[in-house]
Amino acid sequence: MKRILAAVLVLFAFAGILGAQKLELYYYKQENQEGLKKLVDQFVKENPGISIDLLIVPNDADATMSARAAQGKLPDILQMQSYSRVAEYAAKGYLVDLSKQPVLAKVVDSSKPAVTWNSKLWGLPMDFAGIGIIYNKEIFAKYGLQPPATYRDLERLCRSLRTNGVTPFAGLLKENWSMGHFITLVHTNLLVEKKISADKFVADMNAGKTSYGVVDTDKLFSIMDFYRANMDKNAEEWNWNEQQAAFAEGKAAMMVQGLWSYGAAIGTNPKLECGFVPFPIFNDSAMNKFYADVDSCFGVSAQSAPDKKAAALKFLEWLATPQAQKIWVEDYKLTLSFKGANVSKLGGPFVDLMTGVGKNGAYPWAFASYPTAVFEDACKNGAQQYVFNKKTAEAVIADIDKQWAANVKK
Amino acid sequence: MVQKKSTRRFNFILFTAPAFILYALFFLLPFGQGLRISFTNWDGLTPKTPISMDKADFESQILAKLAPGPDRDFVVSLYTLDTSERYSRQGLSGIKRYRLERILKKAGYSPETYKDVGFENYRSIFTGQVDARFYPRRYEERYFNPSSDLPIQIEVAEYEKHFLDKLDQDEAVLAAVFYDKAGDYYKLSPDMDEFEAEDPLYSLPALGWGRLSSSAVDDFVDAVKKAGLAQDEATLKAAIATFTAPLDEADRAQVEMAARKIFEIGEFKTLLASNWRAEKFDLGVVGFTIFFALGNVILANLLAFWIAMALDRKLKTKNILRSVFFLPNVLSMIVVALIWSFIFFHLLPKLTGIQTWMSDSAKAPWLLVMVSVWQAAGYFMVVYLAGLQNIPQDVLEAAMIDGASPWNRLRHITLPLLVPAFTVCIFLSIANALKCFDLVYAMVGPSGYAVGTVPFVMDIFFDAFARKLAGLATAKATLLFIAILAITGLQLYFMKRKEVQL
Amino acid sequence: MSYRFKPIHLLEAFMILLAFVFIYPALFVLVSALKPDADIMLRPLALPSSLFLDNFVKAWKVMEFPRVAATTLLITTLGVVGIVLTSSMAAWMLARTERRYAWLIYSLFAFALVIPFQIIMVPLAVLASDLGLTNPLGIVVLYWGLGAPMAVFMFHGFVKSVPKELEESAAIDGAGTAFIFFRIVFPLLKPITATIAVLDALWIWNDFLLPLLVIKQGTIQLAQMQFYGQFLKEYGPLTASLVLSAVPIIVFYLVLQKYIIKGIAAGAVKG
Repeated sequence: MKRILAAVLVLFAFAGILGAQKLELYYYKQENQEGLKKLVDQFVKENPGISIDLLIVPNDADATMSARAAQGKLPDILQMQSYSRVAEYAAKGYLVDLSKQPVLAKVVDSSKPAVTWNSKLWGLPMDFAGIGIIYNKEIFAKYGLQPPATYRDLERLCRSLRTNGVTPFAGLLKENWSMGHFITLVHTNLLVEKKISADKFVADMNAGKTSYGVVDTDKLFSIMDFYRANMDKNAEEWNWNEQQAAFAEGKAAMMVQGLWSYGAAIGTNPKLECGFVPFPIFNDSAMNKFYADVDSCFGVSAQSAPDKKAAALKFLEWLATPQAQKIWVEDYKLTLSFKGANVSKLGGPFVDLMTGVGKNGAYPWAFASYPTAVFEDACKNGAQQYVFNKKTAEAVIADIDKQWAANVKK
Repeated sequence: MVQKKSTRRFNFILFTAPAFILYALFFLLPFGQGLRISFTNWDGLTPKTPISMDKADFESQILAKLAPGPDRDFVVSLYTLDTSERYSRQGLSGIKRYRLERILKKAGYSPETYKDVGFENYRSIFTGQVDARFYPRRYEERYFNPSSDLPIQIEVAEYEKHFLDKLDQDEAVLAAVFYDKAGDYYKLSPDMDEFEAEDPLYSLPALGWGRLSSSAVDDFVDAVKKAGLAQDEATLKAAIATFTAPLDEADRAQVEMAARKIFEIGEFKTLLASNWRAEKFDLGVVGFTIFFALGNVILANLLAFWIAMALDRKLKTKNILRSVFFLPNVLSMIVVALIWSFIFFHLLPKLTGIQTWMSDSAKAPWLLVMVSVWQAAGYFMVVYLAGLQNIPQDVLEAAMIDGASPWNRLRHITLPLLVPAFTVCIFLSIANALKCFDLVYAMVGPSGYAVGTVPFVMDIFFDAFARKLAGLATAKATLLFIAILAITGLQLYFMKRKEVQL
Repeated sequence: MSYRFKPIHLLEAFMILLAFVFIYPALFVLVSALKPDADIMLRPLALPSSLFLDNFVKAWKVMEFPRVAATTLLITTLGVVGIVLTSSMAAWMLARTERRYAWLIYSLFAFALVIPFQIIMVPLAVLASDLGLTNPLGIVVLYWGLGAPMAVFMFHGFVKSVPKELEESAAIDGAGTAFIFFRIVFPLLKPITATIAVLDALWIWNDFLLPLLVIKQGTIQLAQMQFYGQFLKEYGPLTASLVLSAVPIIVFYLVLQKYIIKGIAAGAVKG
């Protein structure tokens, strides 16, 4: 027994010595992990001096990262949600300033605001994602329906689907983020009607000069009610898998989701033919655009040793090479923020997204610029509590304002 | 004793030190540090000493305030200036970090979100300034928003109890125009469908010819709806007049009719919105935690005791059964949460015909108690079983010969002798239920706020990591700790006095 | 063959039914592991249509099961051995020393039973990193400290139920304290040792949060997270990995279970 123990101890000691330039890469996008693994393998193959350990924290990443930050041991490369997460980490000094890195010059300008804080760049924007309506083409064809271009179209569409016994939307009200995304999607759209840009709105909120209720709140909540009314009667019980199952099976014709869930739907039913359109808020179809923005980015930890930082930057630099871009698109299955990136191989809905954005532009993910606590709590929980009848519309707005003020004050 | 006093003392230390030092180091020390945080406004992310800083800021805020000497040299040795004109330092551990913290604190560096605030966190908890969801409270559920479309159908019980019963005769007459009872539902009359009523406006020929923009129709519909909700005849007329001015006669009539209909629907919408409401009570974090603990303590112990009594009989399968009842303890939390979520969603509706379970705030707390009891009962069962096996058979047999009824035997022999087992099980169930986190977190997550099932520790967790209020979170944790200590202390004190020595 | 109905048979039947409720969830996981993902989502209650082992293959490969299982086994074994050793020594000494300070130290241990782990989580993670304990062997040391309160609590209770005459006569014969403990007392503690071994093994084996904060990856529970994301849950491999990880610990429990009643009984009841 003792001998075995000793052997094990020696083994562990060895494991510690080996591994020359070991980087730790943290990621949260669990749905694309196989592509990321392939990407990292390729990099390591080309750069034998560096090895990369992948660390996934798909749930409660905030808790883990807080503890890691307090330990003084943030992973060398961090995958972050764009805007506020970047701003938060940059403001606390956890990130390396990437403004002068050559790789950032290869990024399309429209993606840069997502990683900007204090007019410097703190991350490498990677994928461009959209939230909208993913619809089942087969069902639409069966009942002779067209994807909606206006809100009125959508209302009519839902009526015909219901008459035909098809649930219009597969919802997932049990997850708070689903309504969180939705309320901010509608809210950002409605800002347009008031001729306020999302940036200005966030800046005004931060300055305490405006309220979340600056938009037409009657419309905001009536669209939320409309969305809820066109889900399954039981949608409050629905979790992620119920949504995916109902959509993949054709019980529901549409789901309001990010394209990250397209892969899962296809996985459940490979024969599914999907299309992707913006969730139309207005009756003027030119005003309806995808709710799309840079979703994630990579940053480098300021706490890492200089040689590790250099290795991490080398990895970011490598991500812009053609072979890396190819793996990114074909295996990681996400769009890219590099200039001239070719995303044609991503499949139907992605093409819908890219052509739609190319033609009409997009509305930015304003929620990503809210203070994180506001989006995580007041928006996500508030919107969900509204749907559960636990909170009135006025209270949802009031709580968002209150929490926003409290977070800016700090 | 033959040992000398000094030897005895040495042995005492030798034997207790390893466990105690490890325990003090990894339990008491972090606990103390946690308490320290409860007196700050820490957001859970701000480092005490800067990790990286712009050159100018670093020089003015830090270097300028340090007098030349070993301390300043130490700081300078830690930070390096990189190509982007920023000073940064690597992760530090232990003594170096403490030294840096001390030096910078002395130099007056103190981040905005890591400041001492004294008892502020505690004060805000006691004065009710923490989020309303923390405390038990009354609130009003509103089921209809007047700016939304009328529901196509409403459940009978729901409609009658929360709406129809509140109406006077005239209002009831109005309601009857809109909703008809059909089966389990009141269904919206197709004539009163607002979307259909609006349709003529969106199919005006003028729209096709481009004489009218779709946004003009939108604005008109909005104006009519608003007038309808307020039942403001004058505004309606004005809106119609303006809108119809460029239209021809036939279209005008069409517009007028549609607008009247929308106006009429508006009256009912206002009625529905202002009456279809209900007063509800929300347990809040505090209330749910107490409910959960009480439910657990009572039900888990009753069930465990009952199973133990049954397995104490001469059952053929008792060994297998014992393993099976203990099995839930073996499964990890994810398994438990995953399985029960599936059961609540797929199995229970099939068995009972009732559709909503975990999303119903009347049922969810009970379901969570049930799962938790299911998990804990096996463990307590073992304790009770052991206690039962320790009861001398001769005492029970003597009582039987004396003709004591089974109830009396239970009441006067078994229960008193089992008090020690009850003491332990109740102690553990109180402490564990009040500390509960994993199970509820895995089963409901943040959605707990929507169904009112957020236990104390989960609320603390969200405060610390989602709401960025680490200081407040630790203050809450400290209060929870004091509460558990007080409750279990009292429980142990009273139950120990009841224990019978054999 | 004559069969006479007795109430006890009714009781037995009822208990078996109740047992089914207790075991059903575990069976559910097992059955799900044998079905493709799509079947789990679309027909969760159905039995598998054929023997489908892909989930196990995927779980095994993606998690690098042999490697993470070995690490988890090492952590669990060393953790349990350490807790049992240090706690039994301390508990015995505390139980046999009839002094106020001994009682005080014992109470201090019991005090920890009411502290929620989430409170000490972040400071503990920082401490672990300061002390260089952020590796599989380091976390073992943390478990020794964290496991001490419950183990001391239970050992303490058990020792009180063991007559001390044996120890006293050995002491009179001139045996040293270490000899008395390891040769005479420790063997007598077998039931409670088995119990604590099982409970702590369950805890360490299934622990998620502490390994996540301290060693970040490499245990079974952490590797499982690859199948359990916010936006994508791969139920097939997930349930397969749950089965894979539960089997060793269930076997361990079954082997030691005959001691458990004796152990919990004496340890807890006399505490």
